[in-house]
Amino acid sequence: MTWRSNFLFITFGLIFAAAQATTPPLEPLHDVFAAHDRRIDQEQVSWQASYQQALELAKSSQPEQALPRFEALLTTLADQEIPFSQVYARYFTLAEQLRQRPHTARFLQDLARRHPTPWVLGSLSETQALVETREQTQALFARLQARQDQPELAADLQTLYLLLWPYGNVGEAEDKAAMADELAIVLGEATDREGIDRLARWRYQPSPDSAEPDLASRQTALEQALRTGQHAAVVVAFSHYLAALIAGNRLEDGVRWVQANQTAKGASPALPLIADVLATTLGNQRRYAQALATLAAERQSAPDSLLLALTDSTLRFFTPTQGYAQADAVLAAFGQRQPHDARVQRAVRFHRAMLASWAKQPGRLKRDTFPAIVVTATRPRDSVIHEGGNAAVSGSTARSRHRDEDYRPAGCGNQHRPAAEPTPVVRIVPRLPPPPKAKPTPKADNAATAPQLGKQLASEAQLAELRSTGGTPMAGHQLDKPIRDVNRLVAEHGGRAADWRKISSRSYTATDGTRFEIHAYWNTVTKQLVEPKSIVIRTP
Amino acid sequence: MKVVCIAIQRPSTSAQNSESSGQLIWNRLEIGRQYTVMGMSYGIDAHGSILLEIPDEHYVIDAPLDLFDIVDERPSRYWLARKFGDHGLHLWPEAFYIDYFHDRLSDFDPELTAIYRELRARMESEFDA
Repeated sequence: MTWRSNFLFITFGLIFAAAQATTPPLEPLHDVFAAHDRRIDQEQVSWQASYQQALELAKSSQPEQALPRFEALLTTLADQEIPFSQVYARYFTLAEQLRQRPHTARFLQDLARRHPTPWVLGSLSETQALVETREQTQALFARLQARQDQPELAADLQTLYLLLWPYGNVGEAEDKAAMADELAIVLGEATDREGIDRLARWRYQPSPDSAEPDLASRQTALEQALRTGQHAAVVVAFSHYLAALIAGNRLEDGVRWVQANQTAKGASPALPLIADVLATTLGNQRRYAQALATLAAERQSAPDSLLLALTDSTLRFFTPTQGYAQADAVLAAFGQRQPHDARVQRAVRFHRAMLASWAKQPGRLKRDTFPAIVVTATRPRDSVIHEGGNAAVSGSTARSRHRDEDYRPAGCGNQHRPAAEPTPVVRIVPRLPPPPKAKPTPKADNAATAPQLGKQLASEAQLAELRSTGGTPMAGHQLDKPIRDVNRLVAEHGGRAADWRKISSRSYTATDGTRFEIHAYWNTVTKQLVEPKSIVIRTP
Repeated sequence: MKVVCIAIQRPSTSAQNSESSGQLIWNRLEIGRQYTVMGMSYGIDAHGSILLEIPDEHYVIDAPLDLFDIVDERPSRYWLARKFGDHGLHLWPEAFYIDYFHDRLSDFDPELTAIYRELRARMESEFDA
């Protein structure tokens, strides 16, 4: 027994000793891991602190100062996808708010040279495509607005283009439906609005449009409309043709056809405008296709990158011939690829819901057209009609609700007041009266409504200009030019004080000599245009 | 000071093309037209652009210096220099410092419109004699 016990002890002792000899002591490893954890924590604390500071700055009265902070962070975090994505989302949102996306493209270009990670390259690709297509669109609008020979057609083509233009914002499908309503009203009660509605719905369809594009018949119809020279007929026929080109992914054919015909003898003067719209739409299509091709290569090298999947989805939403259905499919596929990654699933759910909010069409909202202010008083000596100020604008938009004494400045006394400045009386009328139900004698109707129709069309063009370009800022765009009503705007329409601008369209002179422009408030973040007001400047 | 408009759009490659003033195209300006500068600002936007106060028909708009060439370099005697924030500087006529001047003028406030017209006339003829 004794020798057996001794043998066992010796055996276990040898085994234990051998185990001790082959297993390193754990304490140093714990120390190493603990030090590593501390470093990660410190780095995390460090960038989170900087991130919070940048966010605070973004909410301050000088949000532009946050951009370089975000850029410093993005440079530091360029090699780590998750924190990079977190900061990048806030960075581009702020840049959008400050209208600084062109600047972000330059920053990302430089960053991509130093840190060519897939997500940096993907972000660059998306930003460049977005900035370039916006520039092309603004250039198109400038060209259309310069067409003084065909202002109505130019305005309606701009609206058709805007029906196709993506904002990437909540409720935009509904906005497009309202825009389609307005265009249909302008074109007349009996307008065939199917093409207009197809264009307004195109991007937001829950599934790709499988309808036959019927391109040949649409092309023939457009040729016939061009021969009549009636602008409403041309707009309607072109809306059908454009919708068919997009549905069939045949924009290139459309551009070729129009370009070949516009130089023919006796060609319609409308063709160059149509060619311009089609060529710009095709340019956008190609630019986004190029960005998607670049992105596809990046996604091959980093198939699990969430940021690249989101970028892919956004680019598809923005591509003229794609839209919500394709954008959502990208996210769904990415979610299925990583079903057990809670972070991925959460992000995919969030972004799919956001896409759905862009595309949501909760029923057609027939919006009231905005009021116009018409001067009914005696014309002042210099033909300028003063709006606001002392004038009592009963039932007017809230912009004119202020009391005069609320902003009477010191040192602005009566010595400056003109001796006999007439105080105009203003009243509110609907901007776009509904088309008459009963059709009067055509000649008389046309004669009576021609100037009015011109004004309506011009209003549409001006409104489209404001929506697309932000117009000419008059107040709120610089800190030294604040808006009096900004607190009320924030209370009634949301957003932050710094987001709101007071803007103006260009002036339009109607055939009856009336001159007017539209003033409105514009939220630079949500692109919301509120309280538009037609300002009559000169009476006939 | 008078300037002549040489462009209504900043080049997209320009480092100063910041869109910070809320626009890319100044379509109220006319290329080749001469304007009296009613004021100027520096350090107001994020990129340190020099902004000129250009008289529009009924109110005043600001536009960056790079859209103009200077044709009359004499500064106006109506300008008062005032600091704005930490880095901003205005050279504006006194009336422009009235609270909410630009906002109210764009609403055709009769009192400010009268001031604006009178001031504009004086500044435009300032060096005529």
